[in-house]
Amino acid sequence: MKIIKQAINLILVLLVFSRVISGLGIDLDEEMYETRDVSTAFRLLDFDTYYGSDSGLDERSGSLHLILNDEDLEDLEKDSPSTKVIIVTIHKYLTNSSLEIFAKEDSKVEGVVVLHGTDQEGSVDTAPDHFSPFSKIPQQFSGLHTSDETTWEWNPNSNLVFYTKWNFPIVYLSLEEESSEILKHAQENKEKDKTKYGISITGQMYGQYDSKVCLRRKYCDPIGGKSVYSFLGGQYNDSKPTTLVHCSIDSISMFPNYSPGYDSDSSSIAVLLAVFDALTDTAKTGAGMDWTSTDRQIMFGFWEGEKWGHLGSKRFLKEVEEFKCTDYSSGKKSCETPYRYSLQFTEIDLNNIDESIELTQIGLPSTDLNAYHLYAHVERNDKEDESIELMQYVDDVSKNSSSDSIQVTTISQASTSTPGIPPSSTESFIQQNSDIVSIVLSDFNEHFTNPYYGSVFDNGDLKNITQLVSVANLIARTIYAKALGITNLTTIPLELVVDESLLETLIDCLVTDNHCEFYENYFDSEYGEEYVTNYPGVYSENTGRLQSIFIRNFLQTKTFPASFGSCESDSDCKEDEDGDDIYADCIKKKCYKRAAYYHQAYSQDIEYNTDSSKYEIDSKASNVWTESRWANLSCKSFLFADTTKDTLLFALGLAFIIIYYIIYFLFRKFSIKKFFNVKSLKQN
Amino acid sequence: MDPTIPLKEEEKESVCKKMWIIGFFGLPFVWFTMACYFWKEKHPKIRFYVFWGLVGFFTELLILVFWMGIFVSKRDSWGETGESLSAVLPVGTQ
Repeated sequence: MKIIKQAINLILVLLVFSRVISGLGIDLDEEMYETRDVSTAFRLLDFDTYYGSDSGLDERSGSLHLILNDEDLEDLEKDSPSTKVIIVTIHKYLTNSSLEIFAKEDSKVEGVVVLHGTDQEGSVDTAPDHFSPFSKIPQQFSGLHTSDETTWEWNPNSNLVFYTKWNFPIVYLSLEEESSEILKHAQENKEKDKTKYGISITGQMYGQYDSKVCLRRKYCDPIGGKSVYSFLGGQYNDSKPTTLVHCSIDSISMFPNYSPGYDSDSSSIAVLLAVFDALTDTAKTGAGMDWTSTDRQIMFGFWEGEKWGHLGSKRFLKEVEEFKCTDYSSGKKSCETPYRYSLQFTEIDLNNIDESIELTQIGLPSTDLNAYHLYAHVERNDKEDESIELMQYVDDVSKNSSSDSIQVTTISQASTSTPGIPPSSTESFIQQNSDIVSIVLSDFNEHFTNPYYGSVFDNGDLKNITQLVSVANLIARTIYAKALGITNLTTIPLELVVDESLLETLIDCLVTDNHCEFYENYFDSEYGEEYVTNYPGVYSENTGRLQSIFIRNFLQTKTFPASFGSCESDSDCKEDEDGDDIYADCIKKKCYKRAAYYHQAYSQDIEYNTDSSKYEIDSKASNVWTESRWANLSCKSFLFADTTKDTLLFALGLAFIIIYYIIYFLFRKFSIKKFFNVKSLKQN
Repeated sequence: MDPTIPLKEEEKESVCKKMWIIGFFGLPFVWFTMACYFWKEKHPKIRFYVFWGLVGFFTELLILVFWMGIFVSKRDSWGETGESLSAVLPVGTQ
């Protein structure tokens, strides 16, 4: 009875002790786990199916299992490991065949961590010969050639790994941002053939079945953002013929938070912005240059979401033709529902946009010719001959400029075996108006030369600034000649060349460093993460990606550099210094007259229904991409329980308790006899 | 109603009749409890109520189980009508 009472006392003491310890703020979770900063390949849904990885409701955990070479993969295939594992690997093994090995029922694989970057010993995730997880025919279902007979594999090196569903999570870990501890732990596991280090990944994706269902259930959101367009000179004239110079501004990757997209298409953005800078510089175009009085008008377009079914260009074209505002703001200057801050686009006459020059994938130096060279693609329709004439015009500008010793690219027509223009925003314009004369300039001829289209490896390592300068010089001089209707191309000013250091800075900001100093001229605060992502993200009426905001602010401040007044937000800039109404925006706390416009970019096949608070899909839609909502994305590393160690500890603890009791009883008997002169313990 | 306190004979029939009527309001388990309370009675009217109450209970139970099976397995394929019939929609695919 006494022993039992003492045992109870001991337990009570331990309980009080543990309360005291927990009161001291020792969090057991923190002691056991260390959080890791990873990026998930989340689920993306298309019109009739979904793709991507999912952890399911439960946490997926396992010991780290390294696969860095082919033998490791074969070993995994032969004998499945003893415990559940999470594979730690590199992009080389992010293929359908490897993932199928992982997905087998008895493989015990609970998840995959893809490493990228360098550690002390060098590059861990060296770029394979090519890695492109996206379609062989990008934007096939929203482009010009949707039927099988006229499709052409522009991207034949694709491994199509994006287009599968995996029921385990796949995450991306950047060795530069997160530590290389995961790699070290995995290596230790492998060398000592133990399962000491483990990791657990959670990330349940809500989206189910396809976009239709998940939008109805509100388990996903449509992809979109903001396109930007501007008229050179800052004023729109609805009767002048217009040449559209444009590119897309988004890129894709298996891990959407890491899509730098240097070749596709950040290099095009940088070139067009440098061109705009040169054309608005009177030192280069001549002091009397007035872009509002030229014969031909130039429109610059930067379309968002093109890789997800031509979101920006198609919606722009749709709304210019038929935009219905259900709720105007006071004065009818903006629309509240759907939200369009500027209604300038309703004044555009699409029939006057009769020419289009687009840049797509212009960043890689060509392999088969020595000089800096671009291919011009034309569509094989009624306007093919006139498009070839446009190409020849550009070619003449190139020849004239190089004879004046100006660095320009050469142009040649792309191969006639292809069905026409490659995947590009021009496809939307031709679909809307087949009379448009268009060329698409690119560094590839019949197939993409970019081996890393749509992957994290399209990061500018292969960049060549001289190639970009050559392209920019050519475009700037072509635009100048076009706008003024010049036939004698030797009259293009020799000073009209782009600023090379500006181009380099733009590439750095748009591809490598989100927190570059140059952006400080156009933003008030640091947005987002340091790594660059050109993934459009989920559509939201009011906000846009950092890059969209930068492009708009850049174009506007270059067109009308004189600011007036000070402001906190756009609504403070409704009147100019004379008190007249003016369209202006607040950039870096100063008002600038409006010269560049946003346009909301999201699928033309969906509209937001304010009554049901849901997006509704048009019944004729065939291409609607959405991003799944998710719960609890997290990744934690921990030490696996080692059964021998634990048993040993338990046995030791038990032995200690027994020894303690033996000593206690012996000591008690002895001390009472000695110090209290009591003959026996037979009392109470 | 405490089943351990015995009712007088007249009260038994009136209670049984009330339970019989209440069961028609879509409450098959009332019939089941009625059957449990009055199982050992010999009064012919009570036996009538108990018997047919049990029949009704088992029929409704069968219909309920059948409907649950169909709903759970086919609700997703019913598209919008399926969602308007649901109180809770499970998230994700596992």
